[in-house]
Amino acid sequence: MTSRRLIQRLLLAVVVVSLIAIVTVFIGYRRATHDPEMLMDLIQKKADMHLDKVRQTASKNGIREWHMEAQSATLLEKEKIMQLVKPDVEFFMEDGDNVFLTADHGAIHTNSNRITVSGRVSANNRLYRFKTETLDYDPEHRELRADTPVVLSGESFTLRADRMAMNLDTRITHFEGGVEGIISEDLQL
Amino acid sequence: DTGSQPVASTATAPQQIHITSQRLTSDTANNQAEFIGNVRATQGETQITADSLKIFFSEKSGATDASPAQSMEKLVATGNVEIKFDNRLAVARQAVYITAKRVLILTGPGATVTSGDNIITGETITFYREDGRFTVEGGRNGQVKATILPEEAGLE
Repeated sequence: MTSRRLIQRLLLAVVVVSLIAIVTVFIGYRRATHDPEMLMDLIQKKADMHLDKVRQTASKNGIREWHMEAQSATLLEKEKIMQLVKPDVEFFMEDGDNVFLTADHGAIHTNSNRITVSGRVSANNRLYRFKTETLDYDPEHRELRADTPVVLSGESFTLRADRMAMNLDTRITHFEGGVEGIISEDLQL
Repeated sequence: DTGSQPVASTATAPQQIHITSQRLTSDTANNQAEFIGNVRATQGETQITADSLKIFFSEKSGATDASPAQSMEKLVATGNVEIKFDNRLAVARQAVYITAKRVLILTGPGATVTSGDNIITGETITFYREDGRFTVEGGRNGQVKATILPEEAGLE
């Protein structure tokens, strides 16, 4: 007898739990359909903050390092990263010959002002323009680094290489791997 | 010693200079760029191979902020230098080329210029490309050696 009663109680408990679960899901679904922003918030909470038309300037010891504008940005609080769409960055140089950089995507590491960009990366200053696929700005060494093939062109030359590291302070740039330059100048060796 | 050989200077538009190497260091602030590792620079028939090739630029006169132009002022090739030009072969430890004057200076023990069967060797060979003139210096205890084979029968 007691085992039959036990089974009955067990069945009853399962039915009650199932009912509660169904009701909870139903209520949640109803709220979601009535209040979609709440759903967006839930998504954004993971992304923390979504911003349009972003502007940011970074300085070190009172000297402006770079100024960035982007079509939109998504701030990931936990990862301390701001993801950018269509970043447009100006790196300030001591002699005023600033470097202007654009790309499809980018990310700023908010705890270090480091910037990484990718997708049709293009940068130029007074003397030349260079294009690559990915570029990394290391604020500590004030260096732009490309680990993807880079093509650089000026008024009378073009150059390609597998990798590049450009120091914005010393204005010394190292190109590595398959370096090929073409100089078009009114000059006969 | 000086010598000169007629140079057929054909006034054609200068061709592009094509340079390949393993690495390049560009120093914009000091207007210099150095190609390093298996360097090969070619312009038409002229070809330079060396361990490194340093190019010194100068801002072109009349250059404006809007369109700054740099022009090559001097080239310095260093290490296993071989230069092929005007059917000649120059071999030296270092070669300096002054673009404005078109003067090529080969230095290093055993600098040599070979033209057909004619060979000149010395410590410093200076070649004036405009008129084909060249001077050879033997250095403190070095000798100048020249092997010139006359084309005609000569004394016989």
